[in-house]
Amino acid sequence: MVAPPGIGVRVYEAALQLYPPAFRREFGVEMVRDVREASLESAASRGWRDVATFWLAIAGDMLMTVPLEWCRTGLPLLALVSALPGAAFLGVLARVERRGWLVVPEQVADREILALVLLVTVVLFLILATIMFTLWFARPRRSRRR
Amino acid sequence: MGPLTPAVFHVLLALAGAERHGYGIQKEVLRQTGGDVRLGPGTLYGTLQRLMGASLVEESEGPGDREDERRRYYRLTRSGRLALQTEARRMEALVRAARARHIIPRGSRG
Repeated sequence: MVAPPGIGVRVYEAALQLYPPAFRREFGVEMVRDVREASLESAASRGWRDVATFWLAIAGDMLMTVPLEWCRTGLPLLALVSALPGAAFLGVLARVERRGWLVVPEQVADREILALVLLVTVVLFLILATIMFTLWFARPRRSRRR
Repeated sequence: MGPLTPAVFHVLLALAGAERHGYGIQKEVLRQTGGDVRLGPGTLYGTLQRLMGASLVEESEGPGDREDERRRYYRLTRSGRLALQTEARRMEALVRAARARHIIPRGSRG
């Protein structure tokens, strides 16, 4: 019979949400089961100091491995690459504005056309980002690993 | 293949003797290091994921008398055993070099 999880195990189970979804799906159940067994053993055979040390070690392990697993998904790199065109665009815009090259059309019709062009640009960026994300996550898991 | 990380070496060594589940690997690492190394779940399963990606470890059916049907068992592949042997030889050569320079006395175990 499996013992009911203590509060520490429940907190750990909730904290597993911090890991990337694919990693959590693959190993989450095992990780919770291991922590439950280890916590029961440590509580049964050791004093409160060892139990506290055990939970500190588990917290330290999470602090180390959560960022590592996210880096392995390649998502931070992908976000950086996706943000670069936007940052470059904003940089160019700021430079143009500083030099006074930015001319706002005086005619309402021209302003509407400019607004439409900007809207289409934003929509195109969003579509491009969606395609990039879809292609990235459609790749087989093994080719995403380093 | 370059030198293995300590976590990878410990996991491969723990699996050299028998097929084990995750918690079994953690306990074996603790035993084989005299209680010095305790692999956390994140470290252990991240390492296992990479080792399976590199085909050094694979999932197995587990031993016939497996204690828990729901557990996932892991075992070394042929290339995993080879990588472990290569690393053990590399470490042995380093220990020999340390002994030759009297860093550790001959015949000492630790």
